[in-house]
Amino acid sequence: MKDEQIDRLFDALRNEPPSIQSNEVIEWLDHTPKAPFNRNWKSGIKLKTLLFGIFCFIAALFALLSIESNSHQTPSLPHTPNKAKERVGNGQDGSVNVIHTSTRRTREERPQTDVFNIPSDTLNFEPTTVPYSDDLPFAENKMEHLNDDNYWNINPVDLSQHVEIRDDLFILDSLKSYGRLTRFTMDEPDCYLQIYKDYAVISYRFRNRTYFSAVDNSP
Amino acid sequence: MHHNHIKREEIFFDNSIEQEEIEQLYAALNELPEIQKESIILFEIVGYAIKEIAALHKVSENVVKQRLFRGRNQLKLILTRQLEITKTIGL
Repeated sequence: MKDEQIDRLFDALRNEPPSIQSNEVIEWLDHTPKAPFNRNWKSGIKLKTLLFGIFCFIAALFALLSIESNSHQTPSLPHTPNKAKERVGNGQDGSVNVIHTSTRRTREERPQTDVFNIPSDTLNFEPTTVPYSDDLPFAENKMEHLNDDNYWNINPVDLSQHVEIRDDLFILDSLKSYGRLTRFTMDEPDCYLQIYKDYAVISYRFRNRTYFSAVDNSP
Repeated sequence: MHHNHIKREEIFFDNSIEQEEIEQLYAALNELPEIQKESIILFEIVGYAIKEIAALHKVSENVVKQRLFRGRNQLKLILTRQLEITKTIGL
């Protein structure tokens, strides 16, 4: 085997036609228990949902109590309680609930087949602030920010809490056989989400910007 | 510009490289040590520069070059071995 032959193979690999395999993202999220954000995301959402529910309940209770007290204090105003009840039933609380559930879905609620079915067009990534477990020693080096020069090379999923999934999402290189790296474009041409066996990383590459100019100017 | 386009098309429709060869390459990559495999994937397939890989792995560029060199040599050995096995089975 000569170098030219290997180069030819890599060329062929790089020039493989892109294929739309967006459901792999959801499949990976659902079937990768080691994904750092996966369990955090799930438990975090549960806690936030619970807290939000308690908050809504208390807010509604206070609203009702204040309405009741207002109605007792101003009995001369007709229909006020009814209008107030309408606001409680269909107003802000309900709207917030709808937004909340549409943008942050639990894993069970998420569609299993097609990533484009996510109503909010976002795939939610929870910040990975917890230390990584010992069974991911390989990840530790990679998960650190490389933003000394405002350059985010490869970063864990806490780069952004929401990664927009758009219609132009497609996988550029699907290394299914290799089973380690899947790369596809996001909403920016130089932004990649790379899915490894155990974790996902988002890669932003700012070529010819801060990082490279800084490196090139360094002695 | 036009010339580049033609060149890309030629590569795209290069039938001499079969899917089996690419599969063999994947298999060979899997046999490499993790760090060599990572370096080769990032450099050869994803298209990262040596500088970027060095920053990513927090090593010097020379170390990355060394990993790439050793990784490629290892790949050559593995692929040659696979080729020989294929020929033997074919015979």
